Order: sequence, then structure tokens, then C-alpha cells
Amino acid sequence: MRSSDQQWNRVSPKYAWVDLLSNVLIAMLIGVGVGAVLVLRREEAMLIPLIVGGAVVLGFFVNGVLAFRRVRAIGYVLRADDLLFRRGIMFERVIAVPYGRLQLVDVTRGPLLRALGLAKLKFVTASIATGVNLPGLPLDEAEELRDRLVELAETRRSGL
Amino acid sequence: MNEETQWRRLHPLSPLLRGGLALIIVLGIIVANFRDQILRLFVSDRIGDELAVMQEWGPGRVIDYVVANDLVIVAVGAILGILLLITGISWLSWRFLTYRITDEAVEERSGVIFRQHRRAPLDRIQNVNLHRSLLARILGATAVEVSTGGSGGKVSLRFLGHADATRVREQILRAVAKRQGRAESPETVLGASAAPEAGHARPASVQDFLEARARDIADFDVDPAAAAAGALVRVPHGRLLASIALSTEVFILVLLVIGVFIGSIWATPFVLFTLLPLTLAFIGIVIGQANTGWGFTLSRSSDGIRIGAGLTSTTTETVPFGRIHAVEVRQPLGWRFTGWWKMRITTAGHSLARGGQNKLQNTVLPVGGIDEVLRVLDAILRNEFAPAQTESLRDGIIGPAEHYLKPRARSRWLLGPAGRRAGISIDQSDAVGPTLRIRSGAMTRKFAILPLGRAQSVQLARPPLHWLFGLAMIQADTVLGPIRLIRRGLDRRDAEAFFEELAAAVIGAQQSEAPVSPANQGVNR
Repeated sequence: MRSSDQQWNRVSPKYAWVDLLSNVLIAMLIGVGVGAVLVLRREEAMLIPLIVGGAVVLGFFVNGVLAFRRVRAIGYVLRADDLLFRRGIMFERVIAVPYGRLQLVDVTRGPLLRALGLAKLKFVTASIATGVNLPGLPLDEAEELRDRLVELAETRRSGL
Repeated sequence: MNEETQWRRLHPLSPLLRGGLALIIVLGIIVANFRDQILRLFVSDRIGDELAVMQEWGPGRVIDYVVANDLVIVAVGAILGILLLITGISWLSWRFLTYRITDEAVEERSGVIFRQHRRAPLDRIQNVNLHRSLLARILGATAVEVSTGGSGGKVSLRFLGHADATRVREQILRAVAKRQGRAESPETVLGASAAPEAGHARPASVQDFLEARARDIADFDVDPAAAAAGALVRVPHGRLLASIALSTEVFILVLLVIGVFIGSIWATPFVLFTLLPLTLAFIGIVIGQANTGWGFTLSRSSDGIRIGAGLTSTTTETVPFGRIHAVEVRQPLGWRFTGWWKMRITTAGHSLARGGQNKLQNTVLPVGGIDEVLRVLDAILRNEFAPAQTESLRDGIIGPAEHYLKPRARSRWLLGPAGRRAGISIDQSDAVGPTLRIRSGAMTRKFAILPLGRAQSVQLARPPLHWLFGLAMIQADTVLGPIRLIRRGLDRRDAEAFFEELAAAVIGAQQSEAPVSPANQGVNR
């Protein structure tokens, strides 16, 4: 079966709001900062900070709008012997992790995620390059998935 | 055996060696500064006066003051007291530092007030190193380092007598082998350690003692059994020096020196002052590379491969089979005419800092021809290559590599000249299990092998440029180490099919070797 025609499990669409909100917050902070500089320094050389600040704010807004598309791109499949995970539109990445290689599975919840009843699942292998994160799963689903994966990892453990 | 599992102490001189360098430097500073005053005290006032004119300042004044106020006895007493205190503390810490090797773990207890107990379970031991700095070599001591998978998890026994150290290593490796359930005949391993033990019998006379010491210093720590079997690679000194001269670092340095001379003619002669740091850099590179390659020997013992090298300080590393996560063969541009290659490995337990800093730890062949490369691969991958397998490896390293998956024409905008050599393949024929093989490089030619049983995860990625050209890249993740297994610029459809094949092969390899690694056939010949 090709990885491109898998039936992907998706994360909660609500997570896009978290992504969007954090992007907008950063954009606003930068905007306020640039604005403050502009107000305090009433000089002629304000063109450069204006352009830079504007570009950064715009960039973050576009990024925030893309959040919905990006969250739709996150997917995972529990195959017979490995976990298949994908993410990204511009930086698309598909990762296969054999269950026996999972060292630990973390469930974390930040304040924003908690407000929406979501959780983030993080998988760790002996390689730091693996870097698989499943953000924005509903809490009960995340915990169920964690227990399932730990069990699978336990039955297939094989050293390093 | 009972005696071997008891708590034991380190070499009595180990506190001196641990603080060794610092102590020598302090002594050196004291001697350099107080030389004149001491001379004046004991020899003659006349010489002293002349010297005093030259030295109107500095710590010498302290001694003048002490002498003038009749405090000599107090001062000498204070110095003696401090020395006694240091000796006492060192002795105490030595008394309280003990280690033992049991059937389960290597353990170390230390600390007088704050007791510390370190334990490296045998299951987790990745490799055992012997390290001997110049000072330690002169005193006949050797440090044993037992590293485990974690980046900080390491038991280091600094220092043991050299004979003790080799015996401890054999004991650890034997215990590891036993633990892993390999049917090892103990005679084979004992046979390997018997020779050094016999060579280090208690010295009867001063001459015997000196001879034993000389043997210690010169000991390159080759497994005698392996040497007899001929499973051995040696790097001649001449070839090593030539390879350093042809290395990229030296080439860049020569360019810099030429640049400096041209600069001094065209601009200002003061540019010539930069030659000093450049010379220092040159010496640093040469000594660094010589230390990783001087007298390099690689041998295969019954339980792993053993690598030894060093000019001023020597290191011997033993990596048990099945703990090698990736191998890379590379050829810098300057070596292409001589046909030389360099080989590195990734093993677990080399932390990020050491992985970058300590190059010896990763080098399994500092310089060698293609036949030696194949012999080392054979030793590392633990199989007796059938001629066909050797040929497939040779084909991958220097041949046309026709059955490799290669980037298509449209990737040339991305890869440039590197695309000509690029290729990736899964080889199912190795006795060690399937391996992933990646060819790459334009200036520096590279060839990397990953036993799929060691892969942590596999990836298919499409960063923006790849996405734009309809390409994709394949990457395999291993534990932290110097070798990156990545093939960029593959056609997207090819890469997707290859990714599926790779993921399935990884599963297959890991299921076949779990939970115990397969018996190491062909080793105890």
C-alpha cells in the first residue's frame, strides 16, 4: 500500500485555532513593538522598521491563515508493525517508526490546548531526528493512543 | 571467578594521574618563579644579587619577605602541611573508590562524604575503551571507559595498571557475551587475554621491571588471537603522513599561506604575522590526525572489533558486534589519485560533544585502499563475505552501481555534479541482515551503510525545492553520530515506492533479530 493513498487519521480541526491564535499573538506582539518604536522615534528613518515590521506581521498572518490547511495535513496510521506519521504542506514529511523503537510516549497539555480539551502526543526514539509530534488530539483519544502504543512497543521491544 | 566479582581498587597512583597535568603545571610555575630565590638561599648571595637586579618584581618578593622575617620554618611547615593534606585527601578518595564486575553490571562506588554508586548494566554496554595519556603510559597506567547507551551514562575507571585494565576489559566483554546468550567458549576469550597477563608477571628485578614498562608503553594492544588469524588491518606510518599531506585541511592551509605571501607583497608585510597562528593550526591538525591514525590497527576478536591508535596518547576501543549503527566510507578529493578511503562508524553512547570532538572514537580506518576498506567492512559487519557480496560492496563504493535507485534527469538542477554518483539501494544478501546503502558526493565521495536492524525510523521528505521539481528525499534515522543517511533529489514516485520497501525491510530486519541477536557465526574459527 502506498503512503500516498493511506486512510489517514486526522487530528482535531479545533487544533487549527490554537495554531492560528499563537501565530496571531506573536504577530500582534511584533506589531505592537514596531508601533512603539515608530511612536517613540519621530524621525525620518522610519521607513525601514515600517517595511520590516509590516512584512513580519503580514507573514505571520498568512501563516496563521494557512494553519487550517496545515492542520489538515497532519495524519497518522497505526499499521501492523509501525506507526506512519505525516505532516506539512510546504515541508511535507512522512515518517515510519517501528513500534519496537518507541522509547517513550509523552502526553502534554499547554493552557491553550487545555482550554479546547486537547492534548499533544510526543514520541521519542533513540534518534533525535525522528521528531514525531501529534498535536491537537482530544484528550481521551490521546491517552488511549498512548496506552495502545506503549503496549505495542512493549511486545516488540528489541534493544537499540 | 569469585575473586573477580569482588570490589576492587584502582591503581594507587590514580589520584596523581587524575590531577596529573594540573599538578605538573603548578609545579612548573612555582619552579619558574622561585628559581632565583631558591638559588640564592642555597648557593650563594652573589649570584642571587645579580639576578635580583633583573627581577625587581614578582612572587619572588614573598620569599624575600619570608627570609627577612625569619619565617622560613613556618613557611616550610605550611607547605608540608598543604602537601600532606592533599596527599591525605587523595588517599582517602582512592580508598573509597572501588569497582566490581558482576554477572549483571559494572559498578563503581566513590565519594567519601557524598557516596556515589554508578551501575552500567551489561545489557546496555555499548563499548569498552582503554585510554592512555602520555603521562599514564610512562607510569604504566591505563583508563578503562565503559559506555552505555545514554549520553552521560558512562563508568570510567581511571586508572588501572595496564595489565589489570586489559584483564578487566576481557572480563567485561566476556560477561557481556555471556549475557547476550552467545555460545562462547571461554577458552577463546581467555586465550586472547592470556598473552598480556603472561607478559606482566610480577617483576623480579629492576631490569625486568623496566622491560615490562617499555613493553607497556609500546603495547598497541592487538588481540594476539586475531593477529594470528590474520583478520587485521594496519596503517603504515608513511601512508598516514602522506594522507595527512593530501587531506583537505592541509590543502586549505597551504592556500591560506600562499594568500598571506601574496598579501604581504601586494599590501603590507605585517600580514606575515598571521603565519604564526596558521603554523600552530597546521601543527594542531597534524598532531590531531596523527593521534587518530598513528600505528592504527584493527582486529576482530571473538566478541567485537578492536581499534587501537595513537602517537602521544593511545586509545583502544572495543565495540561488541551488533552495536555498530552505521558505517561510512569517504574519499576526500586529494585522495582520489591515490585511491585511499577513510571509514567512520556511528555507535550508541557517543554523546553529542564526544561525537564531534573525539574523532578517534568514530574512525575505523584512517586511510586505506579499497581492499582494506572491504576487509574492515567484513570485520565490522561480522560476516564472511561470499565473493558476490564483496563485489556488490565494491560496486557500491567505486563501481557503476547499476542496480541502485538513482535520481532522474530533472534533479540535476538541485543536485548538480553530485547527481552523477548519487544512488540508494536495499541489499538483502548480507548475513548481518538487510542493509541500506547510500552513495553520494561530488568532490568528496561517500558511501554509507546502515544495518536496517539498527534503524530508528525512516522518513520521506519534500522540502520546498524538492516539492517544486517533483522530487523527494529519503532519510533513515539512527542514534546520534557522525553519519547522516540521506538521499536527496530522488524522483517523487521512485522515492514513494522505495520508502514503502524500506519501511517493510526495516520491520522484517527487526523482527528477525529480536529479542536476542543471532549467533555470531564465523567468528570463533
